[in-house]
Amino acid sequence: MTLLEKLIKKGRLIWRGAEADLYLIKFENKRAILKYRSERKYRTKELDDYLRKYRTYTEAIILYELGKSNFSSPSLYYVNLYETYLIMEYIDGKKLKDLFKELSNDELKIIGKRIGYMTAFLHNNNIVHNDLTTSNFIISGYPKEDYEIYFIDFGLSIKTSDFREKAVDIDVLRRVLYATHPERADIFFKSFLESYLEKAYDGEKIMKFYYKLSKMGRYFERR
Amino acid sequence: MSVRVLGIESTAHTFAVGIIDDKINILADIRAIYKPQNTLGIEPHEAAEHHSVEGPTVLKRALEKASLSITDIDVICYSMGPGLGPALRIGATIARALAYMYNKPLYPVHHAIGHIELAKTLLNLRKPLVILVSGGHTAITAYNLGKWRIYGETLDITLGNLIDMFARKLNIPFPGGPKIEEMALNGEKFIEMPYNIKGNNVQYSGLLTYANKLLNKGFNKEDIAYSLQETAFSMLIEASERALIQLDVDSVVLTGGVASNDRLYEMTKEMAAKHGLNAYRSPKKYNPDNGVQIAIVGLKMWLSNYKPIDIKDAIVRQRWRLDEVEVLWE
Repeated sequence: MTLLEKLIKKGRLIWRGAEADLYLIKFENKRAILKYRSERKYRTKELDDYLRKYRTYTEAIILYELGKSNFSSPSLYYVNLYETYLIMEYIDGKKLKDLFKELSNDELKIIGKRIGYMTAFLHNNNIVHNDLTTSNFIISGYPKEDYEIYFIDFGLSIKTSDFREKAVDIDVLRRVLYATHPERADIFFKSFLESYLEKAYDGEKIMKFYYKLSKMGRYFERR
Repeated sequence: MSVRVLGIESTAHTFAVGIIDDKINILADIRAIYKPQNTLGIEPHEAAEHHSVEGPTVLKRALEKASLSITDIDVICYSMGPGLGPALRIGATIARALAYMYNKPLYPVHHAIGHIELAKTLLNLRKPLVILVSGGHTAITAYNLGKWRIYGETLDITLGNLIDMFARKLNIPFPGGPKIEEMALNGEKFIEMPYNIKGNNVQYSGLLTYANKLLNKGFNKEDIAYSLQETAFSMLIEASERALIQLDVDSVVLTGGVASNDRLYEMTKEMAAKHGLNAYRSPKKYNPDNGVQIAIVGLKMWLSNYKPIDIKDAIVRQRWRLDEVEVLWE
């Protein structure tokens, strides 16, 4: 039995995603997440093999880099490129998506601001997340005052300095936000944009392209 | 006595009239497709010209086919958008004239809702995840609280655009899909191409540029067609699977022009099966634009007691978004 098989057997499947399966496991006596990119049979084998390896590689590099900074993301414990899995820190907390309704307007503003700073930090380090949604922000320790915000799931992330990619990152967040939390998306997002613009290198250039993008999607009448 | 609905479609290449009754019997389905004269791409004014010349004949033939006279029709509806303004206006003008002259209730229909409701109705689906792949749309959508909500879509060009534009580069006239599908079957070598997924959304313009570049460099056309399809479809299916996981649906359905592609259908089935769901696609005959899809929505609006539109308000909306449309029936 390979290490992967052993870990999966002892672990508990907690999420079956489109991109990977997550297992809650024990790794060196710590609670950890095993993220395994299993085969996608609908894809042709060459493409599937390439994507699974490439994404595992990129995700590992990014988690490793972030691990050396002060950025709150899961620490990387182990990676196996050939069997396309990684093991990382388990983050205890609630998804912003599930907490959204409970939060006061002021709290939403503060969280929006902090997530804006954090996104700017990623972009300044040429990391584009590519799946910024309220499901991928974990609030750990809430409702204590010193709660921590973690970014998770760097599965679609890429390393790039391209300002257009950074603008798309923000556009995708806007779309999800207004679709999932239509009532109070504005409160969060305004504060997000403000702090993002304040900290992001080339912020103005990125925002300019972002505004262009938000009008470029399919069929928006206010052109 | 049964209710008879006449639907007029004219968003892009096709001018079509469909007639159905309230048991969804399809009494007529007549279409005329504009073929560009000098270019391979669509010329909006040429398309409008085509529709205005062919329109009356298509209408006449549809009524003949259904063995009805215009006075036997109870409801008139037309595709209000989205699409090409000049083309849309021909359909709207004919619809207004008929509604006014024969004093019939008139309903404006969103073209994409037509593709969606046609699939849902003809296949008898309850709560499907709809993958809409037409020339104008690439959207992953499901019904929720009165609207077809978009859970993922293309951030730039549509899958239909991608294939048509690639076909055009190979001098294949519209619709290029079937020919590209055939070429792809003969492809042997997979070539890596840009695979762009952002959340539940896809981006295809980078893929088009890349495929065209390979053509210019003289790579095997069939290999490019094969790799292009595999990459573009895999992106869409992955995005759909991401949306599927977040939603409460009981089936997956493909609809719109590109739904006719067998490889895309096979991938959809494979993905859905992993989640214990069946996958379907609308009958091949009704994947391209047609009047029946418009009539089906018109019928539902009539049955749900929508207020008919005033003749003076029956204009066109070129950039009408799918998720703005109020859908009162389930």
